[in-house]
Amino acid sequence: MGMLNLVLSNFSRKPPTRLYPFDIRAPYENFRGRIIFSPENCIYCGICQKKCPPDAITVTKDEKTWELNVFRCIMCTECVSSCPKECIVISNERAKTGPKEYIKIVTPK
Amino acid sequence: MLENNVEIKSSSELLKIVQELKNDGYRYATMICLKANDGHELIYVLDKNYVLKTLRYFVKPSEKPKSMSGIYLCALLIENEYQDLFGLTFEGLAIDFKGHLYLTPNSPKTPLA
Amino acid sequence: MTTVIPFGPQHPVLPEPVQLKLELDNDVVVGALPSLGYVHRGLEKFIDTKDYNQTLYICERICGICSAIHSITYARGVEQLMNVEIPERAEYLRVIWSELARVQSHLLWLGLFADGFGFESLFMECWKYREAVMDIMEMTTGNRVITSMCKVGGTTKDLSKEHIDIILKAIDNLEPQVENLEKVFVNNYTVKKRLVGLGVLSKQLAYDVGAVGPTLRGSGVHSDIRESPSWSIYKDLNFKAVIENDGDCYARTKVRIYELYECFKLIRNAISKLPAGEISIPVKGSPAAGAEAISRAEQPRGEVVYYVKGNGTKNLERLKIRTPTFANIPALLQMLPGIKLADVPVVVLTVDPCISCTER
Repeated sequence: MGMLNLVLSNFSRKPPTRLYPFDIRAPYENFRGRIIFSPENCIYCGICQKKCPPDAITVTKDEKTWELNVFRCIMCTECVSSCPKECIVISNERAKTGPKEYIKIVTPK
Repeated sequence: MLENNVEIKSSSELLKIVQELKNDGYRYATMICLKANDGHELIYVLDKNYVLKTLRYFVKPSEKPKSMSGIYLCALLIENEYQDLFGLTFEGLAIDFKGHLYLTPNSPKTPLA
Repeated sequence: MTTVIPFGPQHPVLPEPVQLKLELDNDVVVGALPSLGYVHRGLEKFIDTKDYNQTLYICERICGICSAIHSITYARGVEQLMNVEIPERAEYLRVIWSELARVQSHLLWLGLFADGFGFESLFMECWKYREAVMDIMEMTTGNRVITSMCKVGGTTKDLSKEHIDIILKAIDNLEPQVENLEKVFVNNYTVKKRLVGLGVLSKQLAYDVGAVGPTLRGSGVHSDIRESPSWSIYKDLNFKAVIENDGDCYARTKVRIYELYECFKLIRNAISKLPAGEISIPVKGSPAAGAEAISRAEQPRGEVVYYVKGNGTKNLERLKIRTPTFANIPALLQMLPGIKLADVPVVVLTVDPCISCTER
């Protein structure tokens, strides 16, 4: 009997899915969307590079660059919790898809 | 250290003990293979009422260990896996994949050895 | 005369990359031989280059459905190696998330199974209910499936008061919906006609071939790692294993449906007993050379065994994972002989195969 009720009530019910590109649900507060790096306080210690499980982060101390391979990043937030200067934060905004593999941030000397 | 650990010296003794444990109502959980002093160390893990019993057996470098699949049929998959990954040869396997359970002819040979 | 028919790795109703070479006499199976190796990734070798904290994220990615419990079992193994006592709140949080993972896994399986015997509406319905659980996961941990909420020494995320209210409300909503599903899976004439007496695995045989999880409990063997002394927390939460005695596809389906109610009860009890305090403690140093530990847990598909051995550095000497489907494949080979070719997908689905787990 359960099945028949279900099929009949489905005629009058609204679809449970969203019409995606036109109707987007606001992301949850905790959602791990993308990594944001702000170079102001960074001391280029390289702890994030050492902690990163998929080796997605490359830090060079001499040239003061911080580079993230977004194709490798698995959003584990190890770098966010290990950064001693709190330069790396995670935003709940979903990252845009695209062909750009690296995010490179160079601090001018 | 593992609890209920028993060291076993010879392969005939091993088969005898495993048969006794099976009659005693133990269930075959898994087998673990480790590299040790040029040879390999096999740890048989058996379970009864949530208590594990582990049997350790050292395989000398050129020795062919005996297969457990005659006693516990389910041992054949894990033994075939170690033929692939460690290059061991088990004697008397119920179904022998000859080192091609996971690996194909052109994949790396014995990756874990 | 027998014919050999390859079943899989690409098959309309079986999305798992496993091939079964079926020996057929007319259309009755007389023998089956598995052929694996389509998704072998060599993860046990890969951990050589990673330290024990990073290995957790690899363990989590062994399986796409039971990832939460993989990481918890690994973390428990390493905590045993290093003699770490995790805070009580973390233990309870781990239980809540692992039971939520079990609910979503069982609902996913019920949907796939309904699809396997041709009930498309039921399939959509199960997956619709599953979305409620996935939303809870995303809200509380930040991701739907790969939650990364566990770490060596505790958990990385905490549940706030609002989260707890949302979880309780969602479970209260879900329970009547599951009761509706139960009516179809347990009482429906067509479903019963299809499943009762199919793929019978006797109690003795199930135990001898080392089956685990719902496959073993469906055959009447009382075995659930959550009852073992190493998981004392489940005892406090009043856990009771679900056992069915018939050993056929119908019994294995019933085990999974009744386990859903058990999960709801465990989540409610865990939330009501959730103690305040820290969620993790810092873990310093590395596992001692030669130290070894075996840790086990009950996944939606059955018992998983982790063996970890340290070598005095941050890296592990050896990590061995025995996943539930690996133990259930010999049981599957025992079930297949004697059934018709048309029933093979249904029987294969009742062990809930996860080949990515099996091959690691």
